[in-house]
Formats: sequence, structure tokens, C-alpha cells
Amino acid sequence: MSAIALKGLKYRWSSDRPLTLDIDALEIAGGERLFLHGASGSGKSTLLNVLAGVLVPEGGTVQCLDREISKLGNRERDRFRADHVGMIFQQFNLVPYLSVLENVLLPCHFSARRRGNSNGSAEREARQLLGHLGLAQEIPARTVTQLSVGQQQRVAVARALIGTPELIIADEPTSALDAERRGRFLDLLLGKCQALGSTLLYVSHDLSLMDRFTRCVSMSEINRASQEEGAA
Amino acid sequence: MPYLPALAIKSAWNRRFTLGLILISVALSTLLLLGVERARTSARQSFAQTVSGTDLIVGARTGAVQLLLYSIFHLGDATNNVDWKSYQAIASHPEVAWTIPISLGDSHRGFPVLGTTPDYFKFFRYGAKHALSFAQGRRFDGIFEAVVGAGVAEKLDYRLGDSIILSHGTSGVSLVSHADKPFTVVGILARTGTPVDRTVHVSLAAIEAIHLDWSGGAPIPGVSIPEKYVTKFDLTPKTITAVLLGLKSRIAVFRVQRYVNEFKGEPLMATLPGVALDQLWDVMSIAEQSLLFTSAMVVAASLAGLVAVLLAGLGERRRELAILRSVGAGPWQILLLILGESIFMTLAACVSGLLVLDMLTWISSSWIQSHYGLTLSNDPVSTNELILLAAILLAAATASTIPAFKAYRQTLVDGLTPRI
Repeated sequence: MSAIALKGLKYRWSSDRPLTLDIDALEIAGGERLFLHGASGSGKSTLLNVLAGVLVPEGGTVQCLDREISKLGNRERDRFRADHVGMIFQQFNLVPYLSVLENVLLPCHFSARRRGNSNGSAEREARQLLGHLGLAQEIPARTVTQLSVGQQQRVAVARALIGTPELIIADEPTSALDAERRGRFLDLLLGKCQALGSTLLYVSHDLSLMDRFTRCVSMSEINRASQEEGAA
Repeated sequence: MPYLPALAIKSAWNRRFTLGLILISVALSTLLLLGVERARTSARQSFAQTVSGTDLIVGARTGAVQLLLYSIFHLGDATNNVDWKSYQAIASHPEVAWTIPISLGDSHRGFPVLGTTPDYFKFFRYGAKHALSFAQGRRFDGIFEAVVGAGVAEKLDYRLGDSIILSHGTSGVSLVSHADKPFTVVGILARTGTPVDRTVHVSLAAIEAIHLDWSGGAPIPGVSIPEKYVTKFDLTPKTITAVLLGLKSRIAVFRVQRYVNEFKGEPLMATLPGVALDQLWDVMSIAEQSLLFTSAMVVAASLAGLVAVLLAGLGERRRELAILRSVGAGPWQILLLILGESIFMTLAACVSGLLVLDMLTWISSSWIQSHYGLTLSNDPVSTNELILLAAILLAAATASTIPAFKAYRQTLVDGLTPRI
């Protein structure tokens, strides 16, 4: 079973601008931990937005977990993302006015499915996850802004993993970390994804990380769209 | 989704300083608008309750509003007087049931002095046809006896038996006083919430007596008639200021009015208190409307501030909104988040504005009552005030669609990767 299957994907920001994405085919198997490499402006962020069901392509099919998400309505795509996708951003992953625990539990409030996946108590699962990520002591922290950048990224991992979504999308989550912490962070993320059986799509321009993944794909290989055009 | 309101409150709490300031601004403007409305309706109510049961007010020919103002509210001066003979003729008209002659022009420490007959206490009605009642003491009987209103007694701390001196003229500070003929307080009226509270009542004979040795508005030099000799003079007044009339049947009101208006002896007029009040509202409504309009503009300005704060906040909240999108919040939920925050803020501001107004009303009502004779309503909120509050909320909700839709568009364009 493939987690993601793209065919003939075409996307442009507006009709008077050239294509940002023009991908003939991309398939990611279930449980795979894929390293997606690309320079900035190569369309990787746009691709992530399409896969997460935020942007709708102008052509082609996007099969995500055997659902044709480009054919879903707006509301269904939002629900699909809430139910099946965990996101980790580059930095500033946390909602500043929520506690560590509340940040981790955030997806459970938008998805009954992920709430249900956590064996009865989402809060217990959140505490377990934070414990596994070495953050047990940070749970009582009054504000998440008191945490270090590395700790914040690990809280973001816990949030992405809670309720065991099938697909984890990480958008350069280590770019704000130094080499040593980057390694530890990757260990945790890859280990957790493997343990939970989630598919991981990891986007980065840092090629030194690619040996840790089951497969590496470069945007320049798959995206035929003009790469000089700046894309978000 | 019940989680959304909780999230909105936490988010708002995180920005409590900015939002607090704008909340105070909206609350103050609400307070102003409701305050103007409350003062306006209270004034109307007080005015309407000041006189009841009186069918006609008679005075020298002037405007109906002016006659009402000086005869009932003791505001301003009469242009001319009514001859005692004319009064007697009108009083003996077959349709007239009772009369209250009124003589104004003197004052006591800023409070108007009203010369009248004991019929005043028998026939005068206010509010829902309430008669005057005495808190202490009795009606005046002798010449140098006075009955004071509740407000006068309270402000000047008068008790029965106190001696008071009347001043000539109606201005607050008078240089010429009737110091040679002091009066004794024999009665204190119960509070009415009308100008009666701020009035000193004496007999018509007393007004005559204190002016015996006066001529043309000043004491006659070298002439002084001692108190004990005043009864040797004829103390029947020559003129009075106005007359309140009660008719045997209300049906005759226009007939009697015509009789007075066409009175042969001198130019007089009679007006129905209700008609004069209506004219007064017409005059006042311009002031009322402009006050209401001004306060409505202040509310609009504060709501514009609210919208500006929300719009400015969107820039800072880009990341927060993108995170919410990534965990599954739809653009419509983002829109509702912003809209809900604004409506909740305005609601909180409206409630605090109203509470502050109620508190101010509660604290100051007795002071306003004794200084201005204005009775503020004790109701925590009136229907009109509720309508104004609803209008503020509606205006806020409408104005907030601007930042809400901007947030909606922003989250659609930004997706999961906001540009910071």
C-alpha cells in the first residue's frame, strides 16, 4: 500500500504565473521514511501544502492514504489533515499562550479520530510521549516560550505524533538546531515514527542527514517546473 | 466545536494588555452613550411626573413652554403678572373646581420661594396623582411661617422651628434680603422627586407682608414697617405670577382655555400642561439628538480602535493561525475565532459599561435628586438601553468582519508556511 501517490501534479499560485509544481509521479510507500531534498525555491513547501490538503492543485491526482484528496471539499480536506497528518515546522511550532501539554493535545481537539487513537486518555498519551522525548520535567512549564528551541521542537514532535496519524510531515525541523542536537532530534523522530509505523516525509536542504532515511528524493529530479521562479 | 471559544479566550488573555486597553475604551464609550440615554429618559420622566391633575396653567401672555417652566419648574422669570382681580374672576368661573395661585420672585439661599394658599397642599398633584404629604410638621398658618421641600431641608439641614430669611430676587446670591422679617419653618414635605423638593412655600399674605415697605423692587428709604404691625395692613395680594386650575370636568378644558385667552381685563393665557410639555420635548429633542449623536460617534471611534487592534494583531498571529491550520482548523474556524473574540470583547465592554453606569447611578442618584430634582431610574437596564447595547454589539460584529475576513484570506494564502 502506498501512503502517497502523485500523478501529473500541476500547481501554480495564480493563473498569470508559471507553474510552481509540475511533478509527473511520486510514490511513497506506507511506513517509509523519505528524505525530500531541495534548495529553497524548489517548490518543496508548496508540495507539502498540497499533500496536507491546504492547497489544491490545478491538475493531476493526489492520492494520500488511498484518498483522492484533491477531490475532497475544503471541510473534508481540513478534517483529513486533522485526522491523518502530523506537522512539524522549521521553528516557532508552538502556540505561545498554551501550556506544553495543551500544545501537544491541540490536534485531539480538532480530530475525534486522533483522540480515539490514544487508548482512552489523550492526556496520558501526551505525557507518555513527552516522557519518551525527554520532556517529562518540562510539562509543568508555565509558558512554552520558556523552553529552549530544541525542547520546543521536541514538543512539536509529540504534537505531530499524538493520536498516531499515518503521515508525519516535517519541514526542516532541525534547521534551528546545532549538529549534536540535530542528531539527537533525528534519533527521536525516526525512532518514534518507526515504532508507530507512521510514514515520514522529511524535507530539508541539509544533505548530511540523508543516510538516516530509507530513501532520498530530490525536488530537482521530480519537479519539472521552472526552478528560478521563487516559490514559497 | 466547543474547543474554539476556550482557545479564543486563552489567546485573548495572552494579549490582555492591548485588548484590555481597547476594552476600556469601548466600555467608556458605552458608558457615555448609555449615560446620555439614561439622563435623557430620566429628565423626560421627571418632567412628565412633575405635574399631574392640573388641567390648565394660567399666566400672563407668553409662550406655553415659558409659562410651564416658570410656574412649575421655577426656571426663568415671568414676563408679567396676573392681576388679583383677574384671578378672582377666573376662580369663580362655573367650570373651575379649584385653583392654586402662585406668587414667585423671591428666593432663599438659591431655592425659589413660592407664595400660595393652603389649597396648594390640598390640590397639588405630582407623578401618578400623588398628593403632597408632610414628613414633619404642618401647613403654614401664620404669616411668617414657611413649609420647605425635602431637598431644601436636607441640603440646608433645616428642622422644625428653624428661623430663615428670604432674599429678594431669584438669583442665588442676593444682596437685598428681607432680614427684618424672618420666617419659621413649620413643616417639611416628604420627598416627591419634583421641583417641590427644592421650594420654600409661604402664604401669599407673607409675600405681600415682606414687600410692604418696598417699592419697585427695592426697600423704600427711611420706611420700615416692623413685623408686628404688618397685620394692620391689607395683605391681599395685588398681583400673582400664575394660577394652576382644576376643572370640574375635563371636557370643559378648551372652553375655559378660550375664556382665559380672551379675558377682557388683561392679556392672559392658559395652557394644558401636557401640550406645553410636548412643546418642551420638541425644543429639547435637538439637544438630546445631538448629544446622542455625539456619543454614538464616540462609540464608533472606539469600535474603529477595536478593529484596528485586531487587524494589527493578525500580523503577530500569523504563526499561531498557521499552527491551528496545520492541526486541522478550517479557514472558517479561523474567521470565527477572530469574529468571536471581537464580539466577546464588545460584550464584555458593554456589560462593564452598563455595570459602571449602574454603580454611578446608585452612588449619585440622591445627590442628583437633591441638586437637580432629577430622579434617576433604579432599573439596572431599560428597554431603550438594551436596544442601544444590541446596536453596539451589531456594529462591532459588522466591523469585525473586516479583520475576520482578512484572517480568513491570510490563512488561505499562507497555508502552512506563513511568511514572517
